[in-house]
Amino acid sequence: MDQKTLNEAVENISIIKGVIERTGKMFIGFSRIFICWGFLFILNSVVSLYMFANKEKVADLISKMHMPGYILPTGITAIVAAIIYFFISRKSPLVGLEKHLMKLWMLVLIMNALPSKISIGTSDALLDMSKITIESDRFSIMIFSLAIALIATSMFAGYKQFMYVGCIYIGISIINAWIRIPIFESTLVQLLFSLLLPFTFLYTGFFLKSQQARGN
Amino acid sequence: MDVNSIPDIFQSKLRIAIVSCLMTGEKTFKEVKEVTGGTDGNLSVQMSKMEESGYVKVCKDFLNNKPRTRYNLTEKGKREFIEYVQMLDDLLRKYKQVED
Repeated sequence: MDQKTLNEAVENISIIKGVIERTGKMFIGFSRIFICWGFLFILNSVVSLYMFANKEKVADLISKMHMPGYILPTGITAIVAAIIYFFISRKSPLVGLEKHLMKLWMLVLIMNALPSKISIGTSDALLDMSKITIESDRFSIMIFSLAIALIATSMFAGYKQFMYVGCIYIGISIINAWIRIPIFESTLVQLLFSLLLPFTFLYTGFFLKSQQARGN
Repeated sequence: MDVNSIPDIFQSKLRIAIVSCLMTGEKTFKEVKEVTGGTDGNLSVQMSKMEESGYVKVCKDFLNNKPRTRYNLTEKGKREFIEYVQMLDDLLRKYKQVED
């Protein structure tokens, strides 16, 4: 085996390694999936807001159709999101860092899609349960989970902008969780809740796409 | 595949970089250019050669009224690249054994 062949083999392997490492930081499929999911979540938010505004009608419809409450719109959105994911990742397979970050974002989404379980126990038999209204607030948890995903994306992808947005989200989450501000009424929280998810995905997707176009 | 029967496609460093880049999926001309660092002219010539040899599949379409060219590795391209990398790996292993 001559030295020249060996040197060439080492050189070619380092070229292949370098190219694969660079493609691993490209976020092509990742940004496409995020943009499509962002638009899908806008649609999901519109349906959610309509459902929030017409709670009684929707509850009546769901009970008439004998389907679990979480099917609309979360279940349908999850199915469409999965179809988008498989369609795009088949054309532009996720590689390297984008593959691992996608797993993290998926876990965050699953966490937010899990329905809340509330149980009320009482020893008072005379208590009229129909007069009790329970409102659960998942806003702080949702925004905090998005902040974690944004900060992790920032740390691994090296874009500081995601870190700043993540820190703002943590601030909003803490304010909503512990400090009672009158402007944080349920309608405003519901609106923010509906807008933040699509905004985060569209912002992340378009930002990564623009960085790609600039070759950063 | 052995050292003496390496296909012509893998005799050029730019072509090796192009194939490695396309191994991770479909890419546009711009994306291939960014990853490989090749010039427009050189990349076009190499891409044409690889298309003629059946290693690369070219798809031309329009995006927002602008022409866009997308490149994909064919099954032959993928298979031969894997064989080529395995050959390089074997070569280095043999060298290490001789050294030890």
